[in-house]
Amino acid sequence: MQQNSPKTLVILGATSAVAIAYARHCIEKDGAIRFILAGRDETKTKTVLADLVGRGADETSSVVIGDLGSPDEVERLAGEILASAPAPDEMLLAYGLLGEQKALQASLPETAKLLETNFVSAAMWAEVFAQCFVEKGAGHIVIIGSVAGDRGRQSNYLYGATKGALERVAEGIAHRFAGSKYINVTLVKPGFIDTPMTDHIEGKGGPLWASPEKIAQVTYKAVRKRRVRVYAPWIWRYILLIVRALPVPVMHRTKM
Amino acid sequence: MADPILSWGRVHRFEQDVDILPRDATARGTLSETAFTGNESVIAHGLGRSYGDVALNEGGRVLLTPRHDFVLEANWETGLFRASAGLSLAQLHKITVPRGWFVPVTPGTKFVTLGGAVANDVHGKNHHQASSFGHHVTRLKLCRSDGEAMICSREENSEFFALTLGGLGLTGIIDWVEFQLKPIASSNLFVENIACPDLAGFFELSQESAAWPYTVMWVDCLAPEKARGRGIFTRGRPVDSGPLQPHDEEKSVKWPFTTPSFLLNPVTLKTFNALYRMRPGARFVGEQRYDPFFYPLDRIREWNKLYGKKGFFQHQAIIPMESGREGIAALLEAIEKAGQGSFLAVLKVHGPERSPGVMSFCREGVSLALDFANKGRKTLALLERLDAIVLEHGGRIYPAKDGHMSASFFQACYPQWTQLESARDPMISSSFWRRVTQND
Ligand SMILES: Cc1cc2nc3c(=O)[nH]c(=O)nc-3n(C[C@H](O)[C@H](O)[C@H](O)COP(=O)(O)OP(=O)(O)OC[C@H]3O[C@@H](n4cnc5c(N)ncnc54)[C@H](O)[C@@H]3O)c2cc1C
Repeated sequence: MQQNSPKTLVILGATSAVAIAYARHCIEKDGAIRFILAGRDETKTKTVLADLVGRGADETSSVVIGDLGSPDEVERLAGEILASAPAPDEMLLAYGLLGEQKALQASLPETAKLLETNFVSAAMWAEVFAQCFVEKGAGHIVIIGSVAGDRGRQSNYLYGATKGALERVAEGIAHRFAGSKYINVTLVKPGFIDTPMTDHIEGKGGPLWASPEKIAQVTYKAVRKRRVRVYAPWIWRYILLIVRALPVPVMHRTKM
Repeated sequence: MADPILSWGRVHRFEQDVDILPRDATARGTLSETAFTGNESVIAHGLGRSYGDVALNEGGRVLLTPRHDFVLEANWETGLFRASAGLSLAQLHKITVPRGWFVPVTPGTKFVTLGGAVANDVHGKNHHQASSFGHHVTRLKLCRSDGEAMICSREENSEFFALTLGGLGLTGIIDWVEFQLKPIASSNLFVENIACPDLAGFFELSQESAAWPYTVMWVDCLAPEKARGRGIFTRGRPVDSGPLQPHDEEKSVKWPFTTPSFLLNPVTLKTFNALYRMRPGARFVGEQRYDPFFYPLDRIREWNKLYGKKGFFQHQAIIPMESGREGIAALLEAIEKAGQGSFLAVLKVHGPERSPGVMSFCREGVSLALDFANKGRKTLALLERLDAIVLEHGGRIYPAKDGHMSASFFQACYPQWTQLESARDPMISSSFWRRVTQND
């Protein structure tokens, strides 16, 4: 990179498989990037930091430790992040819970936690960075959503609802900055990802399962092209087109 | 798991439980807990590029390691590099090549993990100068089922160090590996491909090319007697200046289907060998990127499905220099007579072995690697004939590529196996190890 100072990328949920794959991919493509890695677990987040520095991230990259998914913590942690990187170039929001629909149905506290983590805090983070990028006049917000947000389905509608709601936020921010060439939002909607988060799923594997590296590649390209929304991989766009188009009586006969 | 875990040869189809070693196992300090659960034995499984059953464990568990891929320390001044054992050479190159460093020793595919490179103490086209991978390993961390975690090096726990290099994953789960990279001025090599008329020509070319860091020969193993050992001799050396550009995996293509077995017959084999020998690239002289030079087969993902449903066997033997000529000639003769030649037969002169590995395959001599479509009994009979020739000439065969050898043959080739058996972790075992240690 022929820049004086390296690009700064803030990652929220830096130990997630997709976040790690994306950070590595960015280094491969762009060289020395400065990362601010936010995560809950200090040892794990620092291991990711060492990995990225070993792979060529800027030596001044650093970590911020805290519970990103807790709405009460957002303001304090945002202060910490922006203190160490006052004018970041990009923010990737990659943390989240998958939740287990049956368990959620049986527990209101679990449901509240899922909503707070995946939606309430996430929307707050998006706003924090929208504001930050307004002040700076430039910046890119990248959010990992999910195809599950496209239609409520019995098997995971609470999770899906959080991702669907987050999509509305991303859409809105994109609209808000429609006139600005320099402030952008990209929402990435992966299908099944082969990560530790999905290891327990029965029958995992097969053509619809993508690696975190694949999601990272798609995300990287979408960000460069300033796409507002992208399915990862592309096939999901058509799958969801069909799923959304199913008439209710047909939908209700399925087990999706 | 939807797909069963197979090795590269796709011959062995076993019932086994599968677990995944998490990326952050070290950070969480739980590597031993994840690796060893319950009473079942376990074997680490990297990218499954071993051809036979060293990374399989029928009736037990396999522990998949490729997610465990953190870079832990990289010193770009000295080239000393430390990473989790699941990191692949493909990933490694992307990190090191732009900075002017390369792996000191590489096998013919970049899709191997550091753990696999250690456990088979792999070698490459530069063995005559650089020895095996183990020669360049400075330290490694070994986790045992009793919860012990050992740093092993030539000084510290040196016995475990020497038994883990080439130790087939049996001494413990390797958490990370530290090794010395090799400086490069460019990611390109200057390469010469030379037509070689026969076996005598191969030995002459090898001698004449001893100063070239990389040498190898593809042999036409279906050549008639008077042209026995003809092939294409390749030698290469890194160029002194040029781009430092890593490879691009997106350029590979995938073998589209499992080849029906009727397509694998002597006629197609002969045709392939003739075409390969006469293809335009076969006399290529000039600059080449490292990817096609070291890893021509990586261009076709899942090329192993070329050998059909029943899979295929590899047979790689090394024969000491003194009896090398006769040994290789005898092997080639047996193959030609059997009419079961292989698509890819590779000859290489090896230098003295400087890796401390007790069980390492390499030694000074000549090696011949072959693959054979699995045609059941017929193929096994040929492999046994080849084994007998190897034994007669004081050679041995490579466990990483073996799926058939008998216990008595193995124990004759590797009398030091008892040392590995005593250092083996009691919770670790593999189908290979049981096959070659339980007397037949
Ligand atoms: C096209 C092709 C070309 C090849 N060319 C060469 C060559 O030129 N020279 C050569 O030497 N080999 C060659 N090989 C063989 C290959 O290099 C070895 O089989 C290598 O060990 C494979 O690494 P892997 O990561 O796939 O390990 P696997 O095959 O999955 O496992 C190999 C061994 O490593 C052990 N292991 C893996 N990870 C760990 C760990 N973390 N802790 C403990 N044990 C572990 C396993 O238990 C097993 O015993 C080639 C293979 C192919 C497919």
